Amino acid sequence: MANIGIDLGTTHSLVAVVLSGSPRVLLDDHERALLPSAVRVGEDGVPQSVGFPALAAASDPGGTTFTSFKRFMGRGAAEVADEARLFRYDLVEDDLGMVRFRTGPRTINPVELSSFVLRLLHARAEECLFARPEGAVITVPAYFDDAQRQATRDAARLSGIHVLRLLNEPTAAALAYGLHTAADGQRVAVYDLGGGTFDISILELSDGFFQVLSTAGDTRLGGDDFDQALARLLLDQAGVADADGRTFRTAVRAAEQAKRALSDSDSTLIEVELGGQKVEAGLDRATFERLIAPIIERTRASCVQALADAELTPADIDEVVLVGGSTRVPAVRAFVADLFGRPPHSELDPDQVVALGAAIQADLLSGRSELTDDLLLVDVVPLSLGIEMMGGTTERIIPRTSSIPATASQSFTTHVDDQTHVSVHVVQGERELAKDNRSLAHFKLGIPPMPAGMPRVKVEFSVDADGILTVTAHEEHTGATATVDVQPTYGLSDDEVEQMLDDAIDHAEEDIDERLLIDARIEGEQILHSLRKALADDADLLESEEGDQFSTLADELEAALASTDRRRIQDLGEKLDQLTAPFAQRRIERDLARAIHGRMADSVADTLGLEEA
Amino acid sequence: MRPPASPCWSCREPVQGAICPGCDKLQPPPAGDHFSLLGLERRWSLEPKAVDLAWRKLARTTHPDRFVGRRAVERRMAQQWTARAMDARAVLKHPHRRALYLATGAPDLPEQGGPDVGAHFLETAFELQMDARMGDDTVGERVAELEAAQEAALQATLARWEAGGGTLDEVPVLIARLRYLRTARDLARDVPRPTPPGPAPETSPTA
Repeated sequence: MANIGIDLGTTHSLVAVVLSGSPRVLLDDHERALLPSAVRVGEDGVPQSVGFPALAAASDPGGTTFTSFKRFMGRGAAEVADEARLFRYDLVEDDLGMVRFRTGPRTINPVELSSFVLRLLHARAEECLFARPEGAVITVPAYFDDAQRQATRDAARLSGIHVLRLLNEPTAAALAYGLHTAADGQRVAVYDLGGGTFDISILELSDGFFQVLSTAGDTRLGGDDFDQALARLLLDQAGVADADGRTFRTAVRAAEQAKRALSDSDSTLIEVELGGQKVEAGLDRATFERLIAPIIERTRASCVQALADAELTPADIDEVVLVGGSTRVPAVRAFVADLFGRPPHSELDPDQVVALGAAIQADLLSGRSELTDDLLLVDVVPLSLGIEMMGGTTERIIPRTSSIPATASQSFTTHVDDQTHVSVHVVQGERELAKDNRSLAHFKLGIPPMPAGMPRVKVEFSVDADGILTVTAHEEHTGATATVDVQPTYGLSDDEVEQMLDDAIDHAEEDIDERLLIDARIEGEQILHSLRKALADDADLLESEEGDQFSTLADELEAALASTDRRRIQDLGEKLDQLTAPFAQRRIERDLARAIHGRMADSVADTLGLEEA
Repeated sequence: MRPPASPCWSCREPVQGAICPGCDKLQPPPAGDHFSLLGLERRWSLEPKAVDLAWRKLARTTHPDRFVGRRAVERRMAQQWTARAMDARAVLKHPHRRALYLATGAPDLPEQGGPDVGAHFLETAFELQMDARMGDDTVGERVAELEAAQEAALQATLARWEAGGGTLDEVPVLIARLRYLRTARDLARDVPRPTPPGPAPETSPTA
């Protein structure tokens, strides 16, 4: 029995397997490798066909052909409403706020749609291998967040496939090339430009380990942008100022054909009817390249970021690998060659390379691979994982580009007396404020009432080799525990994730100022809170003018807290802290004296105020 | 350096390493620090290569990919082993994190607060940050000089400790100081210099 590798793509999917020591893509009855990721569902809500027949029926009445459903995997209904309109899907929300599509009397979700594609590929493998495959490695984009990975795993489960591993697409591609190009100590950059997304990953091969050093991307950038730029040019030439949806799509189709033609020849003729106007235009490659140059240029920022995260320069990269259909465009190849100072590899079909890599990993995981007996793949977390802190700031627990599997924990305490629970809000992203990041889960941990600062709540994050997160929290004095497999709450679209990454860079300064202000306020409020409590409990320990001095300064601090003057809040807080230090000392001494006289040790700890656990 | 043998969770055979010699089952990762996990001596001088070597040796036997067909309990242990090994590698390879880990048991300074770096140093650091904000281009050089001094003191402290004399008490202070200096250096790099007075550029845009 063999393990298979599956590339579950947005526009098409493939299955591959390692046979007699070499990876190969499996073909259907018509010798085709690519299976369109398309599912036809009838008016009665019953799925009718998958792949080519589903696409062929797309414009027929009496049902819906779903494509591009990968874009909706693991996403909230609210966040993808615009995209659903673009595809004319009838979007509904399930109980958890996740995406479903209405099809006649029933609804269907993207996970189910994906499972039909997976089932067909699995059946193809079974036919080719004359045996049921044992398990499968399924690829996901490197930028896929936790919810999207879970959805992919669920789709496989739904189709009866045993998932051995979720593998990042660029990593799979590197693996496919790695076996026949990389020597020990080599660093490989994988440039993956698909129809709608861009990923760049940098890996290092050393001593039998394939280690991902960094990954970055742009989820709103791909070959579709080339088509649309050219389509707009065609519409201009046709004098169509305000194209309707149908005309625009016709123009895009013509543009796409021209783009493909120009990958092999220097010029092409475009003939298309737009808005009743026949357009006949000759287009040469140079003109096309001038048109798309600014779009290609936008991949530079992600490449620079990935290099910086890996602490490398282009000169440190030994091999560059191209993935994705859009890397067939000669201008893209030239750009990559120029950026990294070396010609990129393109020996393998850019549409197949991901599936081939998945097959290799599947073979390695079988434990009886003929390819190599000693190769381990180590991937990274694409976006930081953390929790929301008091005041709305993000506390990173596992930073982006941490190697997986990874675990990390942090202890927190309460800010208010007698809290009966703490809320943990799990987020993913790079922004300082939690609300700007993707929300992955909310959960509550019940704790016994204790004074503020007493509880020690330990939150542990654990990311497995599939990149999927589990969070546990427990209170260390009482042992109260809560565990969550992170399920999406509400979410953000890929665009928003991408936007968040962009913004994190653009707004880094702004964010930090805002964060520091929030921190200063919280600290100021705590100082005030503990001072008031101390005055209520131990007013008899005040010396002559102390009471008046304290309250004047406390009033000033309280006024400052309402302002945005961080410096002033901090200064006043420090002043008050210093001024009250002798008073605090006297309180501690009295409490200790009392403790010696038989009071519970616990209440001393309480009075001393356990800070930051 | 070898930990005492403990009975295998599955077959009760005594086990010393990660894998039971009797039944081939993965054992839970042991308690202990990053050094002992990777089988390294607890010391300051440590080549990054040695850390990598030790990490790879461990990951080869304990990585989850090696336990794909096994029961959930072993897969979970593989995950724990590898996550701990990743953490150990990241801390021990980085000189400042390793130094802090030796000194305090934690590889990072708290984001806020942290050790007392001394009033005099604090004043100097704030002055540098202020000058950097003003675009003073001598900041880089002044920072480099101070950094070299703190780094030298750090190395000396660690070397002394390793030779069996002195404590690591100063380590967090020195690293906190280096953090202040890095802030100043980053500021100096990012703040645009005031444009020197002179004639306007010839290619000024015209309306």
